[in-house]
Amino acid sequence: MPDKDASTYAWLVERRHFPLIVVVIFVLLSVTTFYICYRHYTINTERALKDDRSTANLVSLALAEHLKKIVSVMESYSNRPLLLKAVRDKNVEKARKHLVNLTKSNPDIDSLIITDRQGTLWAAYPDRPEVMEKSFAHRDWYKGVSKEWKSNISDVVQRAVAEKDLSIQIGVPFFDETGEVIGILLNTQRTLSFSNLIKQVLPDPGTAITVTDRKGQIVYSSQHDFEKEILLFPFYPSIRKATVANKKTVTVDAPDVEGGAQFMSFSPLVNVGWTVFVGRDKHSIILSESTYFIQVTAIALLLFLSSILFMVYLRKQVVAQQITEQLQTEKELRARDQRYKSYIDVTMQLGWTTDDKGEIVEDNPSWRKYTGRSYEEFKGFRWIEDIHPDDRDHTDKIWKKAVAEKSFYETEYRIRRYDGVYRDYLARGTPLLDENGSIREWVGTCIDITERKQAGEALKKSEEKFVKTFRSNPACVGLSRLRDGLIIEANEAMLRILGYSNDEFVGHTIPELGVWNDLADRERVVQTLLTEGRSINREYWLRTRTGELTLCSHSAEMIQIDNEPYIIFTFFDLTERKRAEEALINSEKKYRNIFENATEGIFQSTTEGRYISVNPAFARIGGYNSPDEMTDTVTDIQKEMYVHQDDRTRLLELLNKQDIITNFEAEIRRRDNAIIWISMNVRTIRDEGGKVIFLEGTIVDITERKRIEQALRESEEQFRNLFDNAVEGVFQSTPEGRLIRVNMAFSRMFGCESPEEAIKTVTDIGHQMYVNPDDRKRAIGIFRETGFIKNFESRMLRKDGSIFWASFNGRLTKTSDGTPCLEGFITDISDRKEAEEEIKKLNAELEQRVIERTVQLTAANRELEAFSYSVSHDLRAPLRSIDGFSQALLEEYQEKPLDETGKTYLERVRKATQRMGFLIDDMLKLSRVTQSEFKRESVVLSCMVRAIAETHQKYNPDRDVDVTVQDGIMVQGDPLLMQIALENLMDNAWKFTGKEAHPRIEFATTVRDGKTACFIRDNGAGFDMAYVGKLFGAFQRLHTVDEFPGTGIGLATVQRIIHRHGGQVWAEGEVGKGATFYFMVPS
Amino acid sequence: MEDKVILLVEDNPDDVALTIRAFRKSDISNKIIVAKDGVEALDYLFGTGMHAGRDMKDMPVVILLDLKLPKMDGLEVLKSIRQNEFTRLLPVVILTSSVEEKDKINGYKLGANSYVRKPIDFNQFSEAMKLLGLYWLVWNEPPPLGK
Repeated sequence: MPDKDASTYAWLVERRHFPLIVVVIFVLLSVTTFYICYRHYTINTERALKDDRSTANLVSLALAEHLKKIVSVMESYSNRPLLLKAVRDKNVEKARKHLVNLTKSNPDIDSLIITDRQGTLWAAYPDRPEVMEKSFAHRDWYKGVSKEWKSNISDVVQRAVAEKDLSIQIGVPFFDETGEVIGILLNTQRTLSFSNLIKQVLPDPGTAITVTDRKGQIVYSSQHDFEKEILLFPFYPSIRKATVANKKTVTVDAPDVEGGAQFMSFSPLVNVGWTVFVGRDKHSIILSESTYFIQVTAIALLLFLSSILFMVYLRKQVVAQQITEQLQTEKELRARDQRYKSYIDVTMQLGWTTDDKGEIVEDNPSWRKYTGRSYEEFKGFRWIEDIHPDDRDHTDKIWKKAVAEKSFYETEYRIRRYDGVYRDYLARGTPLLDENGSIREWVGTCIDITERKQAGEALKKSEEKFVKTFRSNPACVGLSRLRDGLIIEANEAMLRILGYSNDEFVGHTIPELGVWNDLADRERVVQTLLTEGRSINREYWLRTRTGELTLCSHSAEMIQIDNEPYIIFTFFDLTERKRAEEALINSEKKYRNIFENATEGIFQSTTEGRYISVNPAFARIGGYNSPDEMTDTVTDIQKEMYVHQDDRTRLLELLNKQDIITNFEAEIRRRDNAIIWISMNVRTIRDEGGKVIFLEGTIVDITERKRIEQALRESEEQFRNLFDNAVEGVFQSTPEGRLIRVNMAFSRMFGCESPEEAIKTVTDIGHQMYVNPDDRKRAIGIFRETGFIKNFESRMLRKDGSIFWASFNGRLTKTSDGTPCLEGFITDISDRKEAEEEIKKLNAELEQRVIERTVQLTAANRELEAFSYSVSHDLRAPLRSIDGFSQALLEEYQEKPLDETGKTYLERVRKATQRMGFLIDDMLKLSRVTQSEFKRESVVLSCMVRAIAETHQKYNPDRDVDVTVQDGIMVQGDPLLMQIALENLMDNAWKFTGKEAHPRIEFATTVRDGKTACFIRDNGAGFDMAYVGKLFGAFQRLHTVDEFPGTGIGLATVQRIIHRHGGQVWAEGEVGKGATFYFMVPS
Repeated sequence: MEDKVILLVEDNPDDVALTIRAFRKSDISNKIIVAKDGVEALDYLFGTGMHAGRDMKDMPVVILLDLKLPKMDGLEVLKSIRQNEFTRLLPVVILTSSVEEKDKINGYKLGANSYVRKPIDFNQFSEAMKLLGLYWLVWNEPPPLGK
């Protein structure tokens, strides 16, 4: 702490100064506070008053304006000619009308009267009958107006009429053209009406505002009750004075107001003579200020308190500091004391003081502690008892001498230790003189020098040792003085090598002897020594005694002996070594060349993972700018360079087992983090224990090779996949007939489990795989001719002998080793072939079916044709008969009765109609044959035939027909249809045997074309085979109706039925012999 | 005119009766030979079969041929007639109830001289027969007899 501050502080904290300071602060603060408050108050007051003035101005202006307006309105009215006329004529009605108008058009004007010049009221609105014809000349207003016959605003008066409320009366004189006053228009304004206006205009509704008239009567006041009676504004008189003096604000005493004083701001209404007063309590201002005062005071108080506190605190601090300082000083003193005591304890071990005579007069703890004797035992002169007996005399002598001479003394003696052991001490004492110059006391120390003595001994012994060492060192060692090269010492070896004797060498200077070939070398060495302190293994040419020069490796070290620099130097002959070195360098150069320029990377590394050395090629492979960069940067080869760290582990393991590893491949990270493949040849360097400590080897970047390998592998993979998984069979075979290579699909195609099996099994493709070996010969032929084959189809044999169709494409080529081979793809096309066959068969079937259908269709068409033809023809015939014979009857029997001829006519008609009936029936039956649903069952025809025969027999009992039915004739057919067919056939047979004497009908089966056919044979009329074609036609007959009845539909029906069964009918017959009708129904 | 013979080839006896009656009504009393089928007709014309030994000088001046005949079809008969030198020139009137256009065409193709459809109405039928008879028996000059 600087002194200046200290003194200030000190002064400050002095106790008696303290109150003074407090008072000072207090005074300052109070003054400031007071000043602030006062300023604030004044300013506020000013402002408030200004506000008041402006308020007053505002109100006064508003009022003035208002009054002016009223006056101007009234004046304008008073100038109206009509009104003037009315006034002049004293036309009450007319005048009143005007008044009404005036009031209506001006809300401010609500009470008007007109008086004559003399002030006698003659018109009023609102009507005031009570004051009509009354004279108002005594009134103030009249006086005011009549004074100068100008518009006048009166002071506050109490109205004479109505409510007697306080009002202002505004009078305006009526002037006629000549300028004569002919009347007065008076408007009474209630003072109340002003209050609204004022209230409107007031910026602050709480303002204490008063308006007074000329006399000082209150027109309006917010403070006083002005409505009831005319009040005189209390402050008016005093203010008057101010007005005159043109001050705008004045202070008035208002004893009835608190505080006793008020500010009055006023503003006169010009031309009207009124004044607007705005009052402000002094007290209220002060009150409003009070808050501020309090605040400021509070702050001041706080400041005061805090400064007091601060002072106190400061004082405390300073005091504390002082005390601390004091304590500190004391402590230091104590510490110093202690320190000194410790010094003695630590170093000197024994410190003593005696009186001037030499007696110990106070307790000496160190002596006590050391000797183990109490103060009683060694006080006085008895301390000498601790001294070794042999040394006592000497000590005593010295002591006495010192006392006598009053001088410092020093001696050595042995002091007995508490355990009885004597130790050597060096005692020193010095007298302390008093002012007179006589000895006051002695102080001294005893230093334990036992060790030193011992050390001294040891040193001597050691020195001897080293001298011996020096002397007999096989390496030459010398000691010379730096500044002049004076040889101080030289050992045997030095003398020997240089060829000097000790006397010839030691004591002479190096330069004198000419040891250095070039003395500048010595200078150089000296310089090095001076700067670095040593010069190690420098090569210099040195001269022996004989003048011979040898190249030596010189080392020297500078030492200080007695502040003088000396050189210890040694050297050894380099010549041999140099030669060896040169050879080595050359060799090394050669190898370095190889190392540097090799294209392969060469490296040496530690097992721990650092590179010892790398060649530029390796640095390049690793992406480093230089070998140095690489060896510096890479600190852990395994982590930094190997992509898969296990690789290095693996490498080291392998190297452990065998010394050399070749073609070790691994992925390496380059400096730029690109990854490359490398191949290394590595060799170990082991220590004596056999542990691998270094690796050295060569390294090549095989990334490209690896990439190609990879690509190739992938490609091969892909193709292998393709080959193996192809759906088609892929093959390579020899023209002779062996399979070289096949895929799985091929093997399976031929019924083998695997390609291997297929290759092994097949030795002769032509005979083992081809159904027809000639096919292969043909295929080979095509191969040889064109070099390839396409879509060669052939039937092939599987391993199990089954046959299938195959189609193959291939070409003639060579295998990788040059043997000619066929290679290609083969597909099993059995399915396709089958499908082809199927299609062909289907087509044929289809053709067949189409033909059949066409036949059927054609037949059906023809049948239909014939049918419709027959229908039209055969139906017409009976119709003709009917008509004809009827006509005949009509013609011939109009008058005569029916005779035989006539009867025959009728018979014919009847027969004709019947015939039609049969025809229609048969036709229907025929059509139904095709319409009905076809059922296929086992039908026993034999039974049917027998039943039909029986029926015929029943209905024709007189005919004796021999019917023979073969048993068990059964077909698969529709029972109903077969019934009809058989009926027809039997009917025919029955019919056409009608003329036979011995009719015979036979139903049996026979075999035609290997198929069974049924037949019905009769021995009746038979038919001419020439007409056999017509037999089955519809309505075809071979006989006339007279010969044999019938419609000719029977056989057509039979044919239709049998055809529906899918069978055939045919007939054989001979005229007069009989007919046989065959039919065959397929099963 | 009395010796002019008409050959009527018709299988329907009613039609035969009616035709003859119609002729008689028209006062055509020529001899009418009836053949009830094609075979008979040819037998008559060629003097074979059942008409073997007949006087071949007696040839009909017109053949009224029905088409719907048992055994041999009318058109076949016509064909045979036209194929035979002896009868080739004989006028043949096809008299049929068939309304088939085909029959008409084939008839004309095969050399029929006329094609008449038998009406059902007897009056019309008689009229037709009268006209036919008149024409062929009176006005038409028959061809000379073939060798």
